[in-house]
Amino acid sequence: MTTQYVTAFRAMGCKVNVWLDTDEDGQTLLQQAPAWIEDIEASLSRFRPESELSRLNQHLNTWMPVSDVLMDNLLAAKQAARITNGLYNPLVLDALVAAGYDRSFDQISDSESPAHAAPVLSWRDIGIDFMERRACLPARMDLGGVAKGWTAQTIAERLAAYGACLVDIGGDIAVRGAPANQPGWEIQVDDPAEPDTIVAKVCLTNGSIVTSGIDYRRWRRGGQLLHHLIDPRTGSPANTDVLSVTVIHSDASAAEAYAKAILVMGSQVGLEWLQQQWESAAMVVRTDGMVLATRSFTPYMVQEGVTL
Amino acid sequence: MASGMTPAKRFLVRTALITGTTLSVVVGAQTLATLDLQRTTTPDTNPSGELTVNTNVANPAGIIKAAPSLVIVRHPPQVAAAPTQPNRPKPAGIVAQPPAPVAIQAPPPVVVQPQQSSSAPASAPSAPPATHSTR
Repeated sequence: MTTQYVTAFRAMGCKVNVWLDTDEDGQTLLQQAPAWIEDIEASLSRFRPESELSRLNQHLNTWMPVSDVLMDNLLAAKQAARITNGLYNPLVLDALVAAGYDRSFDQISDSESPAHAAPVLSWRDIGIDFMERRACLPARMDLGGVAKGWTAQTIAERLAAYGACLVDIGGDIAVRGAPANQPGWEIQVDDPAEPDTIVAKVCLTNGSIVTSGIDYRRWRRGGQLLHHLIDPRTGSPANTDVLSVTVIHSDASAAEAYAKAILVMGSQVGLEWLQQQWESAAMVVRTDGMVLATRSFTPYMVQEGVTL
Repeated sequence: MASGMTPAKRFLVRTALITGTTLSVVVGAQTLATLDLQRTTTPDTNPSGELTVNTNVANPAGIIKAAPSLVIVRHPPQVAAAPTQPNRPKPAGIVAQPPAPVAIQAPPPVVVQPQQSSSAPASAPSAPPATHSTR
């Protein structure tokens, strides 16, 4: 008989929730999830000096061997940059540090000293040698833009062998299959402006839904409110009418990249651009409270048990 | 055909008729195409420049289509609009948690939920799945 198991813990600097519908030993399976994520974080975190990514960042313009996990993420990051024409760019670490995001978010405090912009180099200069399993960076990299989605998707694919599952890492969600007696996983899209309220509810069976926003990870420098989503064209936090953007896509890293790109472009231009991308759907909550969505998003929306 | 016309004159008359007809068709078609283009590219805006909304679209979900390609899920609230740069401090009640230990000492609790049915929602110990900016 299928039973639903759920676990919650913190990892990658955020809340993680995992649901699993299985007729196997779900308890034992889900108890492995923190260790799985820890293995990935140990490779990808820029906040750990001993991580693989940190070693790569410490040896710029040098070919360094990389593990399968880091290689997959480097490939995902470069592909994400390619599909967004560079509006997502993983080489933003210097810009993030210049803006004040130089430590894990829970350790950041406001400061009177002003922030400054830092140029972001071209993503095309990221060197990846897949055959030799090595990489070479022209500038320091932050994988926060794709790593959570990639991790959620990786864990979901691992658990899918045992049943339908949903993996939520800080609001970036990957799902496989549908829970018992349900058409899919019902997922709320939180309203970034109103705590404890939702903007919409969607139903998802396979794929990913991710949200990027400027409503939470923000701080002050020199009296200016800044956030963590860098516009690679300016080297500063993006300044548009987007408060948060939610993207649905079969690939979690692509969804994350598209979300960043839409936020950088602004609501109208970003959503209209997204509509031209393959198998993508998005919804934006603007800073004035208006909510816009692509036509492709509405079929996922659920209203009182009716899938539109 | 008028009597007394030579074959050459007849040829010239016929050529002029055909050419004139062809030109008229081409010019007319171009004019129609231009009119169509103007009709489709003129933005559907009111004088203030805001998007207008066709409220006559039958839509049981309450979603109103916005011209031309996006859907308005929710209009801006009637009260004063939120500032362009959100000016809220970190939400109260969020406690900065220490980083997770590198070595996981004990697995987190795994809750077993009763099997969900389409009519009875499960009594989940944690909040339902939700997507939001990373926190």
